Amino acid sequence: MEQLEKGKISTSQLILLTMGLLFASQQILASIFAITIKDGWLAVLPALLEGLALIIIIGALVHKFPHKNLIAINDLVFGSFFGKIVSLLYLCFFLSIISFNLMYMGTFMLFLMPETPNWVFILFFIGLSTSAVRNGIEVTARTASILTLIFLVEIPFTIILLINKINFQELLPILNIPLIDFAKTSHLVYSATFGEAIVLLMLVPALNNAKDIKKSFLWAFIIFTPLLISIIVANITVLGESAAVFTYPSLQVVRTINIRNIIIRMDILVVLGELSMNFIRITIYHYCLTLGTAQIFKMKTYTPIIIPLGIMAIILSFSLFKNTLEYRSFMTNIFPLYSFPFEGGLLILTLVVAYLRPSLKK
Amino acid sequence: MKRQHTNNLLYLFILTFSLFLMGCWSYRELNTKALIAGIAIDKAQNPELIEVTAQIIKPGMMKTAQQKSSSEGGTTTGKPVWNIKGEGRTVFETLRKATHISNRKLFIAHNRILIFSESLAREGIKKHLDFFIRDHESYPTIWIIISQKKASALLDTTTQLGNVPAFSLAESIEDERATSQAPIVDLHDFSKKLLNKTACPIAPLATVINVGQDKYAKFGGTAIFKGDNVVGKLNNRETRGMLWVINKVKSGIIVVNCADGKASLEIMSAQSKIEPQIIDNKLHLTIQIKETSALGEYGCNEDLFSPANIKKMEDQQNLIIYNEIKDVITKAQELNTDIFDFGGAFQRKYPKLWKSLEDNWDEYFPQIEISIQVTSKLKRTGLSKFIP
Repeated sequence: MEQLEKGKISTSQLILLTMGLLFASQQILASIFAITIKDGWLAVLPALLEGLALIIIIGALVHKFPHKNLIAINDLVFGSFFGKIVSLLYLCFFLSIISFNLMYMGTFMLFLMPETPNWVFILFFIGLSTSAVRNGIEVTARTASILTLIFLVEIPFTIILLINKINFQELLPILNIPLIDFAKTSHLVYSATFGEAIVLLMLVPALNNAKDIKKSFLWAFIIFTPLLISIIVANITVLGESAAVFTYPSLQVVRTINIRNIIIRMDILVVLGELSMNFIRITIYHYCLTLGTAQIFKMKTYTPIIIPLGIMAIILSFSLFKNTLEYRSFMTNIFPLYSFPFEGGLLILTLVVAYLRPSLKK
Repeated sequence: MKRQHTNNLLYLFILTFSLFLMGCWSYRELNTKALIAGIAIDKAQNPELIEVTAQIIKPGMMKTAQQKSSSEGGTTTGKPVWNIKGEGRTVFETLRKATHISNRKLFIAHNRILIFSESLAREGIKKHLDFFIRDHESYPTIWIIISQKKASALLDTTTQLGNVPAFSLAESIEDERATSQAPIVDLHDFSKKLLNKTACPIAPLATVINVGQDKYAKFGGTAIFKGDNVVGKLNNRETRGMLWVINKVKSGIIVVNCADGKASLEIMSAQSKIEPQIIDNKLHLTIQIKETSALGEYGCNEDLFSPANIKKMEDQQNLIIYNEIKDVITKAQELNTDIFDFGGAFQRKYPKLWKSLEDNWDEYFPQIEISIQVTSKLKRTGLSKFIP
């Protein structure tokens, strides 16, 4: 099958791209703390196990269908009709993720500029991602690499500034919540971080070395996990019980920095991180959504549908939720279930069908 | 080739137009803002209302005395601040109402202190604090102060060093670490305690003293909260007792007796360790204090370099610290306020049992049996051997 976009990315770029995608998930901190405060950081480890299982599934699929992306795999496994239906479901999921993130960024930026209407930020984001998608995956991956590297430096820098606020006693006692709540939290972490790596299965044809996708996911997950844990631990140890109160816990943590009235008002660190990481996430989803749609409808070029799909995402982001509270309760209670079929369920089904269908056996 | 040319023209067109844009529509220049340095909240005459005083900096008058005398011949008098007062039902409403009087909108981001009067704090301050936690301009690093008299009076005090009373208050609260006789509490610490079910928040006390014509702000002591109401007060000595336990003593002076005079010891470092235990269904707690100090002043003729002498001073020091802690614990247990977060210590050690303790903590806390162990060392003796 011919590739719609000719861009190629290397393994190291894929690692940084994956990490950028995962780092945009700081918004789940508020959802985690709504369920448990002291064990929030521990819940990352079971989530990592789920993520490793996902890597195995993805690896098996890529091994069986080399150089095919998600849409092409669905076509091969489920037949051209049911395959298209499954692919469309995936695309709807991608679209909804874009609009969730737009909604989140639209309201997040209001804290900086409260008098600016949030459609300004949403338009700005879609405008940026449109331009990135138009320029192709190579440009996006290069930008994402730089932004992710900056963010990687920013995390330890912020934590060093926080050192005298950190009180490790807040972490105790460990594992003092019902097991069901703990499982809920770790699946929440999985669904908003590691599970999202599924979207990168759309990029398989763009990889220089498609066999490396397993290795690069593994590296990305292994670097990402301790950093996510340290972010969550910083939140817990600085905020303590009050972590449950704040809409943006990380922001609140950075706002408490006060070193002799000289180093204060460091909120901009968090804002920069959120802006750049959410830009990467929205762009990746926008790119995959556009290419997937073009592929399903067998279009010759994908450029004409970039803007219409962006507009669809904007409209969805305005109409899905009435206010921030509704969005937060959705993220905490419904999103882990809503995303499960797309972040694992359907993939397992695909793998099973692929091994059972006689026509696909070699 | 032609397409490229058109594109370049288009870019040039767009760039030219961007020159006429004014920037963000919610932009505000520094000279359109009224910068707030401190806020004081009092009870109003009408019990339904509160009185909010905001101290606004007058940037035009923020000059050093020297500049003042040279450029304007010393004609300008008075402080470079303006205390704007208003009454209203909520803090936010009252602060906004100030725009009726002020020609600039109040800007709260540079606020450094938040003062509540004790009489208001006895009725609960949670509802007044929420604005400062929720608002995006306000920072959690502002200092909380409880004023024993009217809160706004603290903003009217004389300042000899520095121009803005609110900033002087903020600086002197930061300097309390030199004596450890008032806790240093910012909004972040306060709200953290406020959300804890068993621990009780604390805040430093301040009052206005008259020296001749001038009024000065004076810090010392602690206001103890139960929930969000002030229920009691600690004096300077009891405050240091509390700070020993919660590991917040940074420095301070301990005066001990020697043979025929007195010696002052400066606290160099102090660590506390709280060890909860449950023996026969009773709550026990061991507080271990390790302290090192330096001899700062020695007013006796006795030979300093005898080990027995050093030992004598160390023993006295132990006893002083022990009594300070013992008194404050007795007082806290009488008031039934867990200002030391002993609840947290039990929660960390007995997480399973804690669920039943937490709901009835008011019954358990006064019953805790507490033993205190103090080990202090006198490590440095300064530059001279004895009184010359």
